[in-house]
Amino acid sequence: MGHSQADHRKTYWKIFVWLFVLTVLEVGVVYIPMSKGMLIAILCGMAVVKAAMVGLWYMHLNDETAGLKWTVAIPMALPAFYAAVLIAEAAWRYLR
Amino acid sequence: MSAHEAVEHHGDDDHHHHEHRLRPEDWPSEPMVGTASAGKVGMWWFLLSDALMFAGFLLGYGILRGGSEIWTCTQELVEAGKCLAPVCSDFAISLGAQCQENGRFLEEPPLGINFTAGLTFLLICSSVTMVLALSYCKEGDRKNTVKYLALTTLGGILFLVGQWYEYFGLFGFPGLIESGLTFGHSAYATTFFLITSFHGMHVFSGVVYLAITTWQATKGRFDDGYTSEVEILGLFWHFVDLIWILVFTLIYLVPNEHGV
Repeated sequence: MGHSQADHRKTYWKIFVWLFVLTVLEVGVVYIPMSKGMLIAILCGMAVVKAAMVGLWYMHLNDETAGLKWTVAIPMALPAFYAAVLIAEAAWRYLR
Repeated sequence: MSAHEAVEHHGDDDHHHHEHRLRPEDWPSEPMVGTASAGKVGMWWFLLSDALMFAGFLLGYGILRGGSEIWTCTQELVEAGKCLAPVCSDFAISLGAQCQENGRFLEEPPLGINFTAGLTFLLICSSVTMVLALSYCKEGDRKNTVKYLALTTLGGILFLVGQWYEYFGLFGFPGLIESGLTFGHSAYATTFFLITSFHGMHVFSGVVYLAITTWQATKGRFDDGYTSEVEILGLFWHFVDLIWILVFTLIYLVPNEHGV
C-alpha cells in the first residue's frame, strides 16, 4: 500500500518551502560580489534544481515509469546540452 | 482488462457517467508508460513540444546576449555616445512617458527583480495549491478540491495583473513601456517582450482552463475517483510554473549594464 494523500500533502508543503528558500537565495546571491560566470553558474544550478523539484514532485514524474521519465528527460536535456556546447564554443573563442 | 472492457465495466455501475471516462486505477497497464492515461501522455507530448519552443526562444536569447557588446542602453552609455536610447513612441506617450527634448527616452530601464521575485513566489504558491487540489480530488473531497482550484485560479489572475503592471503600469506607477523599454529597439527589449508575453499567454490559457475545471468541480464532475482531468490540468499549470522559474533566472537575474 502506498502513502496516503495526507503524507503526500506533507511532501508538497516541504517542496514548497524549498522552492521559496531557493527563490530567496536566487535573489540574494545576485547582490554578492563575484565573477559574472560564477554567478550565472550558481543561478542556473538553482533554477535547474527548482525546475526538477516541480517536475518530479508536483508533476509526479517520480511516480511514472522509467519509459515516461526518459521520454521527458531526453528532449529536455537536448537544449541544455546545446546551450552547453554554445557556451563552450564562445569560451574557446574568448580564451584562445 | 482492456480499455474497452474497463469502460464497459464502469458503464454498468455508473450510469450517470455515461461518457467514456476511466478512473486512473482502471486504465490498462502498458510497458512504456504504465497506467498513464492517453490524456496524460498526450499532455506530456504537448508540453514537450511547448518546452522545445521555449528552449528555442531562450537559446536565441542566450546567443544574442552572449554576442552583444552592449545589452542594455543605460544613461551612462547614451552620454558616452555608445548607443542610442529608444525613440519615444506615441503609445508610450499615451501611457504617460516623459520624453527628452530629442524625442527619445533617457535610457533603457532595468527590469524589476524584486517585484518579479514576488510574481515568482505567486506562481510557486499557485503550484502548491494546484497539487493540493489534485490530492483532495483523489480523496473525493469536493469542497477542498474546489477551494484549492479556485486559489490556483486566483494566483494565475494575480500573476497576469502583475505582468500588466510590469508592462503598462498601474495606479499611477509607470510600467516598462512608459519607462523606455521599446519592442524592436534592441535585442534586450525584443527578447524580453517576446519571451515574457509568450509565457503570459500560457498563464492566460491556464487561468481559463482552471476556471472551467473549477466550475466543473463544483458540479461534481471529478467525484467518485474521476481525477484524470484534474491531473492533466495540473501538468499544464506546473509546466507554466517550471518555465517561469527558468525565465526568471535567465531574463531577470543575470546582471546587465544596470547591475542588479
